[in-house]
Amino acid sequence: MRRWTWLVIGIVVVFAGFMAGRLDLAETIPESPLIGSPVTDMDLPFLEGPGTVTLADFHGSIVVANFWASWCTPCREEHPAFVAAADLYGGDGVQFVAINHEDTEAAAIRFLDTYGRSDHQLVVRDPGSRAGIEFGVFGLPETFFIDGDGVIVGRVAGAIDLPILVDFITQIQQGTTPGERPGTVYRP
Amino acid sequence: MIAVVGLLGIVAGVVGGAWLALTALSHRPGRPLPDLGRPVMMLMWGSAVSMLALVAGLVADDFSIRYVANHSARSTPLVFKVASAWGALEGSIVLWGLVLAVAVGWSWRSRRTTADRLDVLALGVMGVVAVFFFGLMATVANPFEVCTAPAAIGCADSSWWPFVAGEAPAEGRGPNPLLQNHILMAIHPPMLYLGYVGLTAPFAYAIAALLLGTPGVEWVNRTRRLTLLAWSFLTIGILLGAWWSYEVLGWGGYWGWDPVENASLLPWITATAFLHSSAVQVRRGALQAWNFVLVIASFALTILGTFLTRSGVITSVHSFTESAISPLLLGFFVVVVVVGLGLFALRAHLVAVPGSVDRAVSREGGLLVNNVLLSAWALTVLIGTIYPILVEAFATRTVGVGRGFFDATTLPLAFALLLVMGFAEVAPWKQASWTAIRTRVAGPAQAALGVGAGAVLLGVRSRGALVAIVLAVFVATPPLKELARQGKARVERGATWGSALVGIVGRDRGYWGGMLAHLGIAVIVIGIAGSGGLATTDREITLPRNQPVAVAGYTLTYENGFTTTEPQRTVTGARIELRRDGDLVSVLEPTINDYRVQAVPTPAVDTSVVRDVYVSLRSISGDRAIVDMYVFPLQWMVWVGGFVVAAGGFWSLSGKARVRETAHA
Amino acid sequence: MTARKVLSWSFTLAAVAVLGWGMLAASSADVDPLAVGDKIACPKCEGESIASSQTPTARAMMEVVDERIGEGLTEREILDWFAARYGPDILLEPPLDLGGVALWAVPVVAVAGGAFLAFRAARVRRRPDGPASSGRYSLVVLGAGALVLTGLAFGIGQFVQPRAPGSAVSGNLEIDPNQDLDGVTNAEMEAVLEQFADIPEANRMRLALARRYFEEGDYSRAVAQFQLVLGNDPTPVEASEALGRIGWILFANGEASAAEVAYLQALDALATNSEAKWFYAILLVEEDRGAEAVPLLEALLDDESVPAEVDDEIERLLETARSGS
Repeated sequence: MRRWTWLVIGIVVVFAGFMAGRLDLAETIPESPLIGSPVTDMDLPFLEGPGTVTLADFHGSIVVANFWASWCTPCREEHPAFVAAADLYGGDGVQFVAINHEDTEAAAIRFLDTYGRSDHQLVVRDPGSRAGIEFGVFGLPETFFIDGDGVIVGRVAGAIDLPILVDFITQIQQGTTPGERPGTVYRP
Repeated sequence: MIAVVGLLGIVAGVVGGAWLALTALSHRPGRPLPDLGRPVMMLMWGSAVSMLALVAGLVADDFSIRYVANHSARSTPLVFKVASAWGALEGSIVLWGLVLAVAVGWSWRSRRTTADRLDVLALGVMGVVAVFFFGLMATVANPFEVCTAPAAIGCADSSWWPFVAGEAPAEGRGPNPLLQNHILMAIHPPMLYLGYVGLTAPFAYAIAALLLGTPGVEWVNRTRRLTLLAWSFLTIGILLGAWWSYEVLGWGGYWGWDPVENASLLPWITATAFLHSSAVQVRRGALQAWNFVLVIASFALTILGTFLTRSGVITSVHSFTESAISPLLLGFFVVVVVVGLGLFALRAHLVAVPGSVDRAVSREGGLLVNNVLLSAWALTVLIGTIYPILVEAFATRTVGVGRGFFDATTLPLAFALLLVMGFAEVAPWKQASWTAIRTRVAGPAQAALGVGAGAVLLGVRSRGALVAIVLAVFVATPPLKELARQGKARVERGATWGSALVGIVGRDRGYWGGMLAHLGIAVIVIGIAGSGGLATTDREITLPRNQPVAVAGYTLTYENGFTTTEPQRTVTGARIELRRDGDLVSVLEPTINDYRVQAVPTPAVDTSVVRDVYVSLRSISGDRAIVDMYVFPLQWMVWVGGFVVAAGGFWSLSGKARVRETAHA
Repeated sequence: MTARKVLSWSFTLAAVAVLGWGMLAASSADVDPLAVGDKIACPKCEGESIASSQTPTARAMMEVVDERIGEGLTEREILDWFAARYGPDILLEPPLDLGGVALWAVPVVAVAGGAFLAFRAARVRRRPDGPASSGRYSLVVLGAGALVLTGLAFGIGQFVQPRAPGSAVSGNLEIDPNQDLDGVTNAEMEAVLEQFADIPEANRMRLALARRYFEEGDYSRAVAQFQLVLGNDPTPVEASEALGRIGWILFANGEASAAEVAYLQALDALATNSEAKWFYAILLVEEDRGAEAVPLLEALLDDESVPAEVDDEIERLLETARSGS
């Protein structure tokens, strides 16, 4: 009985160690299993004005699909980077699609009025969160990169910034798969 | 000013606890017993002052105190201001300290004139625990930090030193929306704490008995009442938590096997096992060593549960934000396990006389099996809860253990437990032959099978529900039969049925309290069988305004929406007429309460004897409402049964403390 | 056998028969959406399944579950469908690997082990006492041991850190309204240009950054970027824009003649640079050379690429130019 008791004590101590190891670690988002698989066809209606967009339509062009919402604070942080990047690439081989996810239309339009638009960015809605579910979106913001063949080649979970955007796009232009990386998180 | 007084109270708690521990634990055998009155009083006054100061600060809107600024607001209703005193992390530790001090005071007072070395050592151990918790309050979980950097709302930074020139924000942040949403959220945590902290006393007595090293059941006898009290409060706490989940969260359930729910269930299971196995020790002298294990495990599980709730190492709906107290709680957990189980390993052979259960077919045999099953259940829930951490220690992935695992493992164990309960109720102590048991079990078994067959004829087709109903009746029949038998005898002697029943149940309260708890369990089981096995669910029903929609045998008509604006929230709701066969059953008003930072739906429930109709509002606009509707047969039995279980505990407690002789002298 | 006993037995048998029939008649229902939902974690909430969560995402996912059930998929297929999108960790059931099997074995092993211990305990007789150590001594030793072991536990914690350190916290968990976005972004652009000076887009990015500084009125930084563009083999479009804006900055600093040179160079590089024309026209009007400005402004009015809403301003300047001359 004694030996068993000491064994139990030992197990508990080791287990407490496991828990201690997790104390400082923030929750991470698991890697997307979608990298390397073709993007699903779906029609996404424009936020402003009639018509729809299909991500698979942009064959030959890199697509940067960014999930955002007006209520998401990091989306505000990353928004200027998208506007700048969209202006920078100017629809030339890179298509920026901002997918407004779980938001109201009015709030989304107000967001764009406040934080600015780019002529080269398509802003679409995500009715019924279907696009979010197809892409396995965990939280906002999340950004997916789709290459010219319609294959998902990269994901950034969390707020993105211009260096990451340019880095990913450059990698895709060079034919490599950038894969997964966390976004910048600004902690106060 | 309030902050200074409160912090002084905390310091008094630390000093009182340390004084108590040092005086008591340094006592040498043979010397006159030390007077522990003054340190106990100091601990109690300290805890009372700190709690009163916190409540005063909240009621007076003293936003110079960081805790008040961040967990209360001027617009908060008075009752929630008071409840905020334990609604957030630091305050919950203050409440913990207060309950602990009361437990220490009770233990000291009830043994003041007859105290011996066992009591002194036990109080010393409780002093050590008090030092830990008041130490938390004095350092990393100080609720009286003075705000030095006010934000627009609430406080951004604060100072530990209470004499600093603070600066109060104009308005506080207000309590957590979930706290404000329902009064149950204000009373459910204190009940749990009464249970958690109450388990400190049996732990302290067990450690004291191990330190003392003389055999006997004194430590069990002296803590039986406090254990029962703690267990009853724990039962109520868990029950209120489940009830709150059902009434407030609107997801149509009451138990989700969330880590924090499991954390409260685990000490309840081990304490339940202890209540039964301690009876075996007191009656028959067996299971002495095992009782130490159960008590140490129960206390360690309360600390582990508190740690899990507050650290965020396991994701949970309930977890508080991470804080500096979690490593300390983890360290304390390790200390409790190492010292508790270590003492057990080193000294149990001195204290625990190996007793034997002579016959498997006896009440103690049944209680032994009960303990095996309860322990296996506790171990399963524990491993299932911490499994994600174990996996992450070895693999770079996260794993979730959902209710599927817990349901599937708990169900057979629970059925086996019920079966054993039914046998143990009728089995006599010491020994019995199978023939004797068979005759005693025949009646309950027939009643159970008969009711089960009746349920089939009434249309019940769920296998789980049928088994549960049969077993519940099997458990409930023996005490009811016994009551009828004794009652009949009394009535024949001229008593009325009412006075006869009161007389019987009032006489041997320890026994009848236990039977009451068993009846409560049977009622809960039927409630779970009905509400779980026979429920109907209709989700996302669209109700166009003023157009009746037929759902699950009822007709729902959305009449109109309404919105009320209160200082702290906006309530949007729908008035929905519930009709059956054209007759108005009730008017339901499910709502969505928007607290600006978070929206909380509140379902509307119509309860009748046979079922609950539970309607939860998903979204609403002028011309239509979208709702979920559940029909839960016999749902009320879960709540009533739960309170009967707790009432059984209190009823046992209300009896006279009987001093039993040690079976093995 | 007495009549009473017969009655009792026949009642029992009848009850068992009815119960047994009821159990067998219990049909295992079709796929239950809530049971499926209970096995899928809500991705945007902590520790809740999509069946219990009320968030829009969870509701939308339940809708997908309903649809898939309608399409005739089995529970397993639906779970795999979600796992293929969110990763296997979205499922609230441990995979049946070594650990998973061990987890499911816990209740069985616990009951068996408990029964074994209980059986053995029933047999064990009292053993002779070992030497009795002092309780106080044990306590001191264990207390010290506990502290060491606590330290050890936290030590283990340092080595067992399996999770990727870069934490991607989802947006809805992070709230910080006090960020100075523009400042951060400009700095980021500088960082990009330092890192990616050789990429084809460098000039365009420099221009974008310079435009930003230009609009913010941070002229010295803007000029620096424009000059880097000019020194980096610019296209005529890029050069013209840079020159035009440098001209505007020179003009704003009172160096009208230098500005005029820059404007002329800009129009030289790209004759259709309407911005440079506009800037140049303003300079001419300010310098009381309105007559020279008139053809430039008229050309701007005719220019299709100039947005219609600016035409008013052009008209106004044109009037000033005409009246001044």
